[in-house]
Order: sequence, then structure tokens, then C-alpha cells
Amino acid sequence: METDKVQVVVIGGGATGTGILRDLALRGIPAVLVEQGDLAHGTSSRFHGLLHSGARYAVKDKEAARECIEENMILRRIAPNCVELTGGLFVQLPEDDPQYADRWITACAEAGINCEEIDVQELIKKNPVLSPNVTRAFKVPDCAVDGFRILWGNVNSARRYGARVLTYHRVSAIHQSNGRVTGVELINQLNGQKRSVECEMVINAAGPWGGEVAAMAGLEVNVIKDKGTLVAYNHRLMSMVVNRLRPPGDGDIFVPHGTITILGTTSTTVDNPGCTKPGHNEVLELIKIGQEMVPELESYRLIRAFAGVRPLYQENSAAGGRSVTRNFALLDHRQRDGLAGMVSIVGGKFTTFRLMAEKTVDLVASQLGVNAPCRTAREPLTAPVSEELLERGKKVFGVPGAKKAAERLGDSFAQVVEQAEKNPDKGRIFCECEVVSLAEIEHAAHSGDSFTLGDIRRKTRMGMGTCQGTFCSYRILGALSGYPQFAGNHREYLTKFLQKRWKGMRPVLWGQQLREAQLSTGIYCTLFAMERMR
Amino acid sequence: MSSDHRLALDNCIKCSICVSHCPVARVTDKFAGPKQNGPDLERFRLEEPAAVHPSIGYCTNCKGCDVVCPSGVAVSAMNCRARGEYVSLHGAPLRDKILARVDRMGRAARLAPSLVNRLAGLRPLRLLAEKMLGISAAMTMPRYAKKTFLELYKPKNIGDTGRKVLYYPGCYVNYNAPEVGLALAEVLAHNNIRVEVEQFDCCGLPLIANGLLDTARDQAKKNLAKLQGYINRGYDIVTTCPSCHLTLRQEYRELFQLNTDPLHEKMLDVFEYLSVLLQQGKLVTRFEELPLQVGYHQPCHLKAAGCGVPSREILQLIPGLRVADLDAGCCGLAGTYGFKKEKYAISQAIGRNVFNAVKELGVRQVISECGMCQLQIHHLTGVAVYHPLQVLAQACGPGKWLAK
Ligand SMILES: Cc1cc2nc3c(=O)[nH]c(=O)nc-3n(C[C@H](O)[C@H](O)[C@H](O)COP(=O)(O)OP(=O)(O)OC[C@H]3O[C@@H](n4cnc5c(N)ncnc54)[C@H](O)[C@@H]3O)c2cc1C
Ligand code: SF4
Ligand code: SF4
Repeated sequence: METDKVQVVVIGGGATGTGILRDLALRGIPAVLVEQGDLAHGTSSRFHGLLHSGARYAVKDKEAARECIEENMILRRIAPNCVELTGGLFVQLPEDDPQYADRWITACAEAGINCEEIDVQELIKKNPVLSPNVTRAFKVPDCAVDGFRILWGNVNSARRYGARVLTYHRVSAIHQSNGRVTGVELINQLNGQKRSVECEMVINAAGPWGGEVAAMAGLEVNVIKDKGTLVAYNHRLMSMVVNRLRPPGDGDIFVPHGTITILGTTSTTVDNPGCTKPGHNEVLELIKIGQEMVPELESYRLIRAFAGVRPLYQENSAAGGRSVTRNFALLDHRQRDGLAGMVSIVGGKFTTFRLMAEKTVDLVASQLGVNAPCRTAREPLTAPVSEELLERGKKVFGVPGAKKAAERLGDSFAQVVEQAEKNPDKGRIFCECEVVSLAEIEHAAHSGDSFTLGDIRRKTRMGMGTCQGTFCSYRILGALSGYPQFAGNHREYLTKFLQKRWKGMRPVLWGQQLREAQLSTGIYCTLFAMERMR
Repeated sequence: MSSDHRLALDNCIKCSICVSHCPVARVTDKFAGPKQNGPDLERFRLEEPAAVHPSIGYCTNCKGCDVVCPSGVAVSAMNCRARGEYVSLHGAPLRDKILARVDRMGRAARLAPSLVNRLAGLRPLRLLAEKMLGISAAMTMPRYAKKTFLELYKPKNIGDTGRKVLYYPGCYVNYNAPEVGLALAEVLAHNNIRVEVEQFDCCGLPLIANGLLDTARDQAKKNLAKLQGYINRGYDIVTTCPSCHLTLRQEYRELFQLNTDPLHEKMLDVFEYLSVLLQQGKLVTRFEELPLQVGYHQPCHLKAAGCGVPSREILQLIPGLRVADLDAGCCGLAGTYGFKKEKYAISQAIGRNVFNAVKELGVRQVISECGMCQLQIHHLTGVAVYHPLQVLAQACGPGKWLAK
């Protein structure tokens, strides 16, 4: 069995884990991150994509609200390519308690969140999809945030400082001796091989799996697993994030996100952290509530539904769902359970991942005797792409193709543009719905951590648009068949990829998406003689 | 954005049928195609209006994509708007601004039409225009008539049938082919119907096709107001140019959200109008024998109007006349498109099908409703090309309608 040695092992390739890896790397602490799937395999790709201003939490949890607005401002600065400055709205409907609005305004002011009342008539004129019954509306600094980009940004930045990442490696055991963690055992999820890593410290950033990981070290950490379902509309319904001005509930936020709009969410406690199957009934429920704010909702096309599991932490309580705090907890197991060399970070939100990482690494660094300060709030995640390079990109990929690729790729955009300039065939758009070029797809296939079409999808957005992979998946496989990881059985790769796409389409199969599925079934089952949707 | 438009956007299932039927995409890979330029990028334009593919200028606006789309997506309207956005961001070349104003060119040529015609045939001058302006030296220029249709037309004194007809001639008939307008008057006179004419603005299609939407919108409003006045006074409006017709009826609504409902009942292609008369038993079907074999080319914009080929039924009434359908798709000229240096070759490649069909059928005369199609078919094949009305007028009486 292969054995490795490193100072710190981070478990979990979500926002929290990758944020921690970057923070460790910037402080010069050697670390390796292990993730059982691809990066963003967990909740960090199955969320709403809202970079909270904190306004949603202002009334109930001032501390959380304050953290949100601070982190919101930091992320805008360090990761402009991951944040869409949409701005957000809170709208009140006639059936909402008007007194809540007054409490909310005061609470926002106390938390330091800018909120400005705007003219309702003007608002409706600019956003005709909104209900004409809106009684009051406020502007807040909410934004849309791209989870994938943040995660890859964290990892690329960390790698520049020497950190390592092992995807498709599951931690199967945590070794300890004399009250100290000594290492972890890993199983390669692609070939079943085992390997072990010796280390001084383990950081448990396994999100909803936090309880399971802690249990490997014989510890009890109570993570409440709260499933939330979301739906994605085919186009941008509005230009700003829209929240409902009432105590937080289901189906009360719309987030415009690049080409799509995400409406959510629901809240159900589940046992299995991997339970990400969206339910048909949850979808219908969401639409019903969403209609109060956007009356014509039923006529707009849904492309898929998806679900994520919130890792909520309550030290010892039976409460669940929305009554549980969205704050995070940092558990020092040396102090709490007498096991040195292990910490768990649980709960929290995507928005506050950087702060969670900072607090975690502060603790870890102090235990390791390192006193380098945190730099993640100051140092940009990626170097911005120059105007000149962007212009060159537009010539080969067109306006949206170049802009989106530049935002996704950051520093590597130059390579992709050069490829396309040298060979115009590489500049061709392979995923037409999301405008992804062959050059970018090959770049992703080349990266060393793309083993499946799904991995390429998460890096590029290919297959995430209107047709949900019907046309780009076989096209891309054809182009990538020279790569060792795609040289095997294409039918199997396609089936795996498409079944995952169809998992999201199945709960929204009506109207145009049903026609889309029929077309897709026709192509794959008839032309390619493959199996039906499972 | 109107909710209609959002729904149209959502209707696209990415089947690519529009791409496989697009005449431009068929002959060149410089054009990203109707789907990518239309519904694909439209999703991006909701976030970033500048998300227009630079190849948008290669769309001929033939509307073939609209016709074939099984999902009812207004693809070409999306493309037109995108081109407008592109032009408002990057500006239009002087050449396009000139070509788009066919009305102004027509008025300017009034000063000395024969001189203009001669100059347009001078090779050195054309080469200069190609170099300086990007106007293809190879393409045949439309000839300007000595007198405009509005100058030539003299309403005849005809017994009153109670039918009031206003004719919207369009720029091409007025400046280049007044004989078509005169043929219309002749045919209607044969039925004792008097035609009124009036000076209108250009329908705006050349402006739309060149992305100059603001000017086009202004003209659209003026035209609609004038037409509405006639409709209020009980007039039927007839057209002879399928492109003007489609623009007035469909583009004004799809691109400018103007209300064109009144036009739907009251504005007809002249052959539709004659078909209505035929159905009512009021068409004078006394025609002279015309022993001719002609090829028929259906203009794309007539196809897009969804009214079939209204001239077919009427022409069948002419004894001796045999009309063979070329069935060859787009001719490739697309108004001002084929005159542009960088597009000339594409335009000719698209038109190859028409050339082949004419050769195969062995016809020496072709008829087609669109002046620009006529020009291209003549340019491609050298055969004489007429408006079907000229054939009909010939069958109505003595005049000489088919001599060019
Ligand atoms: C429906 C929904 C909507 C949300 N919306 C928002 C929002 O709009 N804004 C916001 O700020 N927050 C939102 N959140 C919360 C936010 O998404 C999460 O708090 C955040 O993504 C958690 O990140 P994480 O890194 O802690 O966990 P995860 O992203 O789940 O990462 C944990 C990772 O650990 C890996 N792992 C687990 N066990 C092992 C093992 N044994 N070995 C190796 N790897 C392992 C998993 O595969 C996983 O990738 C939402 C959550 C949900 C469910
Ligand atoms: S626009 Fe129509 S024809 Fe073209 S891809 Fe979409 S659905 Fe198919
Ligand atoms: S209008 Fe004609 S040329 Fe333009 S995209 Fe449609 S089919 Fe192609």
C-alpha cells in the first residue's frame, strides 16, 4: 500500500474544505485535500447560488447576518469572476405581515446591511414578471455566486502554493494512537486501491457527512441533514435576486444565475447525506409558492430540479429544519473529546466559507505552532483576465463564449485562447446551449483530475443548458476519444452521464422539457440503440 | 421583454432543424447558424445584451428557419434584434447604410436614371466601388426606370364596383420596375376595379436586414398610421412585393411590438385578393391564350407568409400557360446581401440550386413575385424573369407586358 506523508489532511472538497486548503497553503502549511468524488460533489454544487447580503437572517440571527455582509464584500473583492453583481430585492405581498418589514429594516441597519426602499411601480415596469400586487420593495446587496468557480479558484490558488488535491479518494478510516491522530486511510473510488496518508492533523470539512467522518475517529458530532430542493428555469426571469419579505420559508427566493434562474428551496430532515433526489411533489410545491411572487411562473420552462443537503449543526438538540441556526461551529476535538490532531468544522453557509476556513486554520495553525496570519481576505483568488486577451477571446469564441470562459478559467484562459487561435477547429462551440468551446473542453480533459464527462461538465458547464447534454455529450466524447480516460466504452460513459442529467429532468417532465426528453430518447434509444431513462 | 418572447425562447428544443435548412449554413461555415445566433445566444443576451456572435451579419433574413421550426420559435426575429444590437454597439459600415436606404438611392437616381444605369455597368467604376465601399463588382445592379411608377400611373375611369383598393407598391416597383405596378392596375381594371396609390415610406426591410432598427421603427410607425387611415375609410390594401408584405404584417409586430392586427384582414397579396374575387365568383376569367412554358420561383418571404402560392390558382386559368415549379429554395440574393463583396460568393453558392433547376427544366422564362429574386435569377441564368402579374396582364388584353 502506498503511503504518503503531509502535515495536514483536509477531508471534503466543498467550499469549506477548499477554502481551508487555500488558507493553509497561503500560510505555508503543507496540506492535502481528499474528496470522495469530484470537487463540488457535495452541497457546494447543490445550493441556491446566493451570496447572501445577510438580509435574510437579519431579524432572527444578527450575528449570521453580520458575517454574511462582511464576507459578501470580501468575496466581491477577491473573486470578482465568481460573483455576479445582480443586487437583490425583498418584496412584500399583501398577505405578508407589514410589521415584519419594519422590524426587518431596523435589523438590517443594525447588522450594517444597506437596504433602500424603491418605487414599486418602477420596479414592476423594469421586471414585468413580478406580481403587480407587490406592496413594498427594497434593494439589498445580494449577489449570485458560482460555486464551481469558487471551488476551483480555491484549489488552483492553493496549488500555486504547493497544496495537493486527491479527488475520487474516500477517507475510510482515521488512525490514532495515544490520543493523537496519526493519519488516514483512503480508498480510490475509481479503481478500489487503498492508500494511507500520515499526518499531524486532520480537518473534518465533510459537510453533511461530518458526523460520519467524526465517527471514524470514534467521535460523536451531531449534524442535522436538511434536504432542500431547487428548480432551474431555462432563462433569466429577472435581473436581480428576489426574496420574499417575510420570515424565511420555502420557495421564497429566485436567483438569476448566468443563463438560468434558480427558485428554492424546501427543507426536510433526512438520514442519508447523499440523498439528493429531488421530489416531484416538492417541485410542484415550490412552483405554487413561487407563483405568489411571479404569477406566470407555470408557463416558463423548467430544465431540471436538484437537491442538496444542508449540514446544520446543533450541539445537542432534537430541533431541525429552519429553526436551527445557520451559524457554524468549530469543534476542537482535543479540548472537546480528548483527541489531539483533529478538528471539525460544521454548519454554516456557502457565503461564509472563507470565514469558516479562517477560523479553522487559526486554530490548526496555533496547534501546529505556526503564527503566519490569514491572507485569504486580501489576496485575489485569480488574476483578472486582461482586456486585450478578452478581445482576442471574443474573436475566436464570440462575446458570451469568451466572457464565460474567461470567468471560469481565469489564469488558464490565455492557453485556451491560444489553442483556438492556432487551430480554428478548437474554437468551435461544442456545447451550444452554454457556449463551451472544444479548446476549453480539452483543457479540462487535460487537467489531470477529469475522469468522467461529469467532471468536465462541472469545470465547463457543458451539458448544463437547455438540452441537458443531449447534443454535446456524444459530440464531446467523439472529440475526446484520444484521451486515455475516454478511450473505453463510450456507451457506458454516455449512459452514466445522461442518467444523471435525466435524474434532474424527471421531476419536471412536462411542456417543452418533455419534448426535449422525447427528442433525447429518440436520439439515444433509436439512433444509438441505448437504454431508456432510468 | 414581452412574455411572448420569453415563451418563444423557451420553446426551442435544440433539434437543429433550422440549422439543417438554413441556406447560408449549408454553403459556408462562417455563419454560426440560426439556432446559435437565435435562441441559444438569446439566453445569454438576457444577462448581457452584447452577447451577439459576430457572424450574425451572415444571416440573410430569408426566414427559412421560422418556416421549418417545429416549435414555433421566431428565430429570425431574434436574429434581427441581435443584429440591431450588434450594429448599435459596433456601428454599421457606410456601405450598409447606403444599401439600406433603397428609397434614397431611388430618389437620387431620379436625377438621371439612364446615366446611373450606365455608370452601374462601367467595370472600372464598379471595381472602385468594390474597393472603396465593399460593393461587389460582379453582381448585376438593379436598373432604374426612366420614370417612377407614381409618375407613370394614371388612374383610369372605370365604372364603380364599390371596391376600394389601395396599392402599396414598395420601392422596387416604384423606382425600378414600374411595369409591375402598371400590370397590377391593368389586371384590376380588367375587373373594373380602380387602384389608388400614394407615396409611402420604404417598408424598412433593408434597414432591418442591415441592423438599423431605429430608423426602420420610425418608418414602420408612419406607414402603419397611413395604412390605418385607408383601412378606416374602407379600403383593401394590396401588395405585389412579398417582402414588403411580410415586413408590414409580421416584422412590425415581432420586432417593434406594433399592432398590425388590422392589416391581417385588410392587407392582401394581390393574388390573394384575386383568389378572394374568384371564390366570390366575381373574378373576370376571360383570358387570352398564352402558349408559354415558364418556371416559377417561390420567394422565401412569400413562403414565410404562410399563404402558399396564391398566384398558382389564378395563373391556371390562363389557357395555354404551363407553369413548372423550380422548387429550388432560396435564390441567395436576399435584398442587399448579395451586393456585399464578402457575401457575393455565398449568395451565388446558395443560388446554385436555382440555376440547376432552370437548366434542368429547360425553361426560357421564369416568374417570381420578388424583384430581388428576379434580379438574381436573371444574373444567375440569363433567362428573362417576370412578376406573375405581368403574365396575367398579358392574358388580359393587348398590351405588351412580357417584352423586356
Ligand atoms: C438547497 C440548499 C440551498 C442552499 N443555498 C445557499 C445559498 O444560497 N447561499 C449560501 O451561502 N448557502 C447556501 N446553502 C448552504 C451551503 O450550500 C452549504 O452550507 C455549503 O455548500 C457547505 O459546504 P461544505 O464544504 O461544508 O460541504 P460540502 O459541499 O457538502 O462538502 C463536503 C464534501 O466532503 C466530501 N466527503 C464526505 N465524506 C467524505 C469522505 N469520507 N472522504 C472524502 N470526502 C468526503 C463530500 O463528498 C463533499 O464533497 C444551501 C444549502 C442547500 C442544501
Ligand atoms: S429554433 Fe426551432 S428548429 Fe431551431 S433548434 Fe430550436 S426548436 Fe429546433
Ligand atoms: S433567416 Fe435564413 S439565413 Fe437567417 S438564420 Fe434563418 S434560415 Fe438562416
